[in-house]
Amino acid sequence: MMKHPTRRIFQPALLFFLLRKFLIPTGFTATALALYTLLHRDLLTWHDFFPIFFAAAHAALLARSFGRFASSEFAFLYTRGFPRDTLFLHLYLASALSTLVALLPTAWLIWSGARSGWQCQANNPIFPAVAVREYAIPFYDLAWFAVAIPAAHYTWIRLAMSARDRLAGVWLVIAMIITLLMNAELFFQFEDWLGDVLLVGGVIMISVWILGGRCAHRDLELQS
Amino acid sequence: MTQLHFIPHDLGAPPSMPPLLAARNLSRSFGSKHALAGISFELRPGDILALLGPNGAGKTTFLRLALGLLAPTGGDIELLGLSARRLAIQGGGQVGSLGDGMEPPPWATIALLESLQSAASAHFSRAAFRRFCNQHSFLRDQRFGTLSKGQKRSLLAALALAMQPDVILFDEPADGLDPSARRELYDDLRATVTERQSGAIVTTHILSDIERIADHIVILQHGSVIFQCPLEDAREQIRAIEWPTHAGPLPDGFFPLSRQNLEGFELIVARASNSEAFDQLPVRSRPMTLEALYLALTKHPVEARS
Repeated sequence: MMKHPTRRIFQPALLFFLLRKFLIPTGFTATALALYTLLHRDLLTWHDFFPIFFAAAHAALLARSFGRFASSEFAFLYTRGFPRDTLFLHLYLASALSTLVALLPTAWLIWSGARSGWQCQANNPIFPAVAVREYAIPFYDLAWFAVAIPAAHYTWIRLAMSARDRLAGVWLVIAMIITLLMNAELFFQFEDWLGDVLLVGGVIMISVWILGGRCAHRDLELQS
Repeated sequence: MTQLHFIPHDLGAPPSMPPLLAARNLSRSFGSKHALAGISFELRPGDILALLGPNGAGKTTFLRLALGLLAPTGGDIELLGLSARRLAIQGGGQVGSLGDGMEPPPWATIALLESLQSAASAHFSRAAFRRFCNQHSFLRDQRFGTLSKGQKRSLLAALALAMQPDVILFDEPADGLDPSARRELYDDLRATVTERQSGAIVTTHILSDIERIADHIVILQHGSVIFQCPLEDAREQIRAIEWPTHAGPLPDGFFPLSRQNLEGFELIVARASNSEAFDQLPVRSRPMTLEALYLALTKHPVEARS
């Protein structure tokens, strides 16, 4: 028997609807990140401030674009009949696609040699020699987005909840502590083994945010 | 809190089917404010229930609870045998809704709204929705934001009815509609409810519309149900009586719902077991419009009996 459309996991119309909502944040991040990548004169590294800032800003804008929980649009979407989990899944699918689109110009600039060529034209002496060392940068940027987006969505959903669900708040505190540790690792350069531990911790943290966000999202109240 | 005499839901024929929606002692507070304070009523298949009340009475809060957008702080509300919250989490598109504060973004095209609704609801009829769009000369690539207020309402109502829902929840559906569009909307609503044996709850301040289409009325005031009754029973059993002040109390068998002291007489809105009982009175009684009844109940209520 054919599965009914409403029970399908993937809903293109819903994804399109959400992606359309993410249009402005995506455009903003893609432009900002590409300009930074093109014009930054030093070697790009995985812990440059601006890409991390852009990832955080992008995530915050996505969360805000999606999660204006008191808005008329939101109440409309949530009264169409989609299961809450379907909405949550598509929130992440749309966020992932938006992130990939935002990173695409940057990746193209680095991998096609456009950045290197531009820097050579600008008489930057370290190019094209160091260009190959930057090939991994889009993946590092992607990792920052992977941390920032679940954090932003989780926080936004949690903030929209009533104070009754205390458990969700506990998850937030745990996640924030791990985030602080990760930032500490950046600034104080812990031993290598701690880096590995923090990598595992980061994966756990992201999982907690996604799973906790799913639970919190199910209980979310919408008031407009 | 003043509570008027309560006319039970089952004054009419005994219900044979389970209710589509049942609110039981339903409460909702926002901080210290009680938006709803323990209301109970049911919606049965084939019925249109008019939820009436002054602004701030709790009508929209009730609809948001029924849609699962809010959680009750007391009591419960069930739709189709499930708690409203659970139904909202589970989805399925069995509830068609329309209301203030539930509109798509202005950039959404009619085609996108159709696709979105079609994906979300099990019985959505694209054909019915397209027929509506053709009748009203709506273009598929037309953006929602370019429509007038009345057109937006009509479109969203058509979208909700094309879902062929089991439960319909319309909050001020006629807001911004011209008389012809209002009539069309309510005719479509009645047709959907009758054909599918679904149920509808409609809130509105335009009582003439309700008089034409509703089967039951529930009046809320300050978050409480002050009156509920099948509309037909209200027409037959409730009348306004100009009762002389010196004539003493009303005879047995008459239950005053509203009293207003006027010069030399008291205007009493009373219920009797049937319309013939009013003919036995020594004074004239007159049937009431829904609007007159509503005003009497909300403005001059009789204090609650203990």
